[in-house]
Amino acid sequence: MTPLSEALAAWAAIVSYAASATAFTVGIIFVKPKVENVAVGLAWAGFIAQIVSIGARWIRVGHGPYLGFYEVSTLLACIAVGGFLFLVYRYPGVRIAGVVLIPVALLIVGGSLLVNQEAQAITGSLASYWLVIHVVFANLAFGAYAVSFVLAVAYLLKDSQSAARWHSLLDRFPEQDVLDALTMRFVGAGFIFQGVMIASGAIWANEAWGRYWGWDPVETWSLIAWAVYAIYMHLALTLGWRGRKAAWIAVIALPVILFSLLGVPIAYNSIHGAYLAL
Amino acid sequence: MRPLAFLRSRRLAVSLLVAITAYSFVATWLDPQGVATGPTVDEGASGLLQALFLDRPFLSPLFLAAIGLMTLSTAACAWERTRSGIRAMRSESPDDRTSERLLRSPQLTIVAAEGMDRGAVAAAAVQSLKGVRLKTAWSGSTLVARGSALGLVGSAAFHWGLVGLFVFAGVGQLTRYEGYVNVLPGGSVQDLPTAYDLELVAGSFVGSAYTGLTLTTVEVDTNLVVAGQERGGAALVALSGPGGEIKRQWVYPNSPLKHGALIVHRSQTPPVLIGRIEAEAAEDAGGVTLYFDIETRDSRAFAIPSVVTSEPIQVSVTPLGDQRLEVSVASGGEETTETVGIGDRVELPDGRGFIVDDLTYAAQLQVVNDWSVPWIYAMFVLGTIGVSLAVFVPVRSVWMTVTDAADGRVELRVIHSRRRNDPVFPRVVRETLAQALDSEVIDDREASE
Repeated sequence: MTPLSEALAAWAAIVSYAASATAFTVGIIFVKPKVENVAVGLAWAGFIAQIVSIGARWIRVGHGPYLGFYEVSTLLACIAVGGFLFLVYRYPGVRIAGVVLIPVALLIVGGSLLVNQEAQAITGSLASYWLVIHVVFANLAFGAYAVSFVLAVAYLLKDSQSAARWHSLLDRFPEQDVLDALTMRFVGAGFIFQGVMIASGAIWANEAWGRYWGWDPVETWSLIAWAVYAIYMHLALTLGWRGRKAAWIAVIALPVILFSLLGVPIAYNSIHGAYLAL
Repeated sequence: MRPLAFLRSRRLAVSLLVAITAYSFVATWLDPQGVATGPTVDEGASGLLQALFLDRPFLSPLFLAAIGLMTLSTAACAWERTRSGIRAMRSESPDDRTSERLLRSPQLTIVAAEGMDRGAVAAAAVQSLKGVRLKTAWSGSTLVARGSALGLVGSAAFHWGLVGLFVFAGVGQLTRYEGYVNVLPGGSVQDLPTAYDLELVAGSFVGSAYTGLTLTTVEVDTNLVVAGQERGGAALVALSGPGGEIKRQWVYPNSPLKHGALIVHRSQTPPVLIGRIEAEAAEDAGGVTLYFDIETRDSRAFAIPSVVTSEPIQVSVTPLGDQRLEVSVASGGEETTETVGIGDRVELPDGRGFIVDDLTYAAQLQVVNDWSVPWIYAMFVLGTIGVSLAVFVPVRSVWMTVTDAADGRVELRVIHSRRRNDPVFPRVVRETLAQALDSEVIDDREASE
């Protein structure tokens, strides 16, 4: 595939996500289940288009989507949508959360087209299989956390007195105790994946730079984000902070992990800065 | 045992996590690289930060004390979880309290459909609970169903992994050393503290850990290609000991030379000028070695005493590329500049000459001796396995007994136990057993509470 074909696939994903977000909004406001089905179908179309775009670029440039802001952000969006679609498959009622998640994915994918898309070569310290392990688990962690965010928002909406007029919609979500348990599960999964990400990054850093930890801002922030979710798990599992309290923490924690993945390399001078060059 | 109770307190654990997280956030703003304060902090603030030990925040006594307390707290929690896990694994039979509670105030009472006798009810309960991956066994008149025992060890394993990580990382930092040295092609250095003229960072308890082994730079390649992939600057390094050569390999990023706890990385391949001062008198001659920054290629300077005046001669050399150099000589207020190549001579004001013998690349080696690295990796693995078990293997138990209901039918009395991260289990038990017993008569105390 040529760069033009990749761009067309990326644009197809954007258009699909935009249409999906519109369909979700219309379907929810006007209570049209069939329109919601169409929205899910469009989300699938966008997801597949993204996979095609990412895969084609992978073949063309000779490495996976983990160098440069464009590649990293599009993969994150793809993983988040994939996680959402998996959740919809298991719990169809959760699909109305697409009205939040799909627009976020749309913004990320659309925004990524505004940055430099030139492919970076893998040389020097990047030439290691630890790069693949590290990035894969970073994306899995983000995907799991994004899903936990959606579930927590759903819990809070169901719990909210002011959302009474939306209860007919919110009733389609699983029961609150199920949402609570699922949020915990996905936070737990994200915690494990992020732990592997940090560990693999440390091992790789030792192979490439001669030290497994250097308090680089990206390293420190990944630990900060991991600690935030560790706080969630301690509060939920040992101090009985379940339900509303736990949901709020899961909601607040997502911007932290987002900042650690995408914001820190931009805001700080970091040894990791090269791989997230704008 | 009040200190132990304090250390394993959940509130302490959460408080420490919050404090360390907040401190780390501030530290990355104050000191992004863990070294000297950034240029955005003015002198007054810099002094204050130093007074608060925040100029190097991740080495400050405050931070290290918090980490130390976190380690102790984690160890106390790990110990508690280990004990409770062993206790739970050993208690196959329900204790007297559970048995009595089962009869007097069960959490769940399900009346079986008409026509089901005690045996049928028990068999149906066993079968249904096997469907939710619980293993069943009779203990006297009580039917016990349990999930996998692995879930009992997960949390303990995770916390012990963390403790190990803190301990090995901490002790490792105290006993490791990391040295940087430039080695010319064909040159050698010994792994001793005196060799690391560029930089040596050594822990407080390194002692005599230096191996004394010899590192030889056999060859330098500014862009090594391995399996069709460019690897950047690389050095062929040979490691030797009293018995001869131990190992030799090309060293480049992601391909360090390893021998026991010793790891040799290629830090850079700086350009180097090898020259000499030529003079009639031997005592006025000497060698010159200048290393340049491979990125900036800024000029380097050296000063030598003049043999005719008291004022030293300043010589500045700037690499121009294509094996050419710009050499500036300053003395007595006068300065001359000329462009030279390999083999050329630059006249010095005192009659001596500066000869450029060679322009080449050296290997800047980073030598690290850290025995703790594989142990830290092992703790990573232990912690990951532990947290995976803790999160995904539920610790579930169900105790049941079959009795006669008031209306003559058979009823099943149930007590169940699960972890806090498993809030749906009571519903699973209720729905599974009710379906198995084809019952609509259910007294669920937990649901009604």
